[in-house]
Amino acid sequence: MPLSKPPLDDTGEVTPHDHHDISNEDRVIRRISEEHFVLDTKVSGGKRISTMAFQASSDGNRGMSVDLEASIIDAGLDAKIFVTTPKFFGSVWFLAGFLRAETFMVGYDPLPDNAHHGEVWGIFSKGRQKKLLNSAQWFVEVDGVFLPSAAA
Amino acid sequence: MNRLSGISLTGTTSAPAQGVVQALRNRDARVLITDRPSVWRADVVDRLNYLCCLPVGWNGYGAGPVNFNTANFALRVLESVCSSDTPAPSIVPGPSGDLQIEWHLETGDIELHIRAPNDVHGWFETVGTEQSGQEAQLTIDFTEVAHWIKKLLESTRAPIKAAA
Repeated sequence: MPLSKPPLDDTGEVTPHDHHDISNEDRVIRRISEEHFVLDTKVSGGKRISTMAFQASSDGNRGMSVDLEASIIDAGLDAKIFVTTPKFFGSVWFLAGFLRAETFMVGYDPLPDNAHHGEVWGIFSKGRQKKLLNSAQWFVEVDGVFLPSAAA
Repeated sequence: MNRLSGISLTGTTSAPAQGVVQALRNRDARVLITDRPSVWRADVVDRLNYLCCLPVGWNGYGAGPVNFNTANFALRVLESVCSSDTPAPSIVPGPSGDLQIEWHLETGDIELHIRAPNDVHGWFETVGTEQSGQEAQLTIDFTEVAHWIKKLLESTRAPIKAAA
């Protein structure tokens, strides 16, 4: 079932909210660009994802952009193809419930070019960014890039 | 197009040059200040230029390129805090024209999130400590970061000295 419309402010921009149609068991996907990779001599292969991959935008009401897997599947699309088209390198996922437990809000923010776009709002402190990095699971894995959860 | 280069930055850096200021002997003599020698400086400048030219949407969600002034400030920070033996940093773009400079060595980690010129969040953690790292809000004084780098390099070298 399609997600209900998100709340808007006076300018028509989606306001930070926790969307009731996104269940705690739903997966939210964060695309990872090759620009997010950093060198780290402590990890296997020497390359991992930067905490900067889990940073909110400072523009307007924007948080950290994500793709909502359930919404993609409901539309009859393959989520792995959707988040990898046309060029994206990889992606990781979190459970919405995990993000909420970390006091983030998980909302719906459809865009003209991505009807399944969501936002994660909250305070992205360094400690939380590291927790996100340590908890992220590969959705579309990138060979040769270390992810703590995959090594555990 | 704005581009970072050795020429454009010459004279703008606050870092002390190493033995490159020549004595002024007469009014026609030139005073030359050259860039600090660093094996990775050219690579960093290339990387910053590249990040300033990223296409909109590079992260899959509409992010734009790194802001030129932010990149320029990042280079000045690096020139101020790094010595010639500081390892090359990783530089990662952010979603709002910002960027992050990172070192991840066996002995610890440093991350400098440069949100804008004179608006930096620094984070430092050494391996094996139970603390969750040190954090600092930085504007024009990066002495703390220079200490962090020194500490990281000293502890990296310590096992080598012991083994020698």
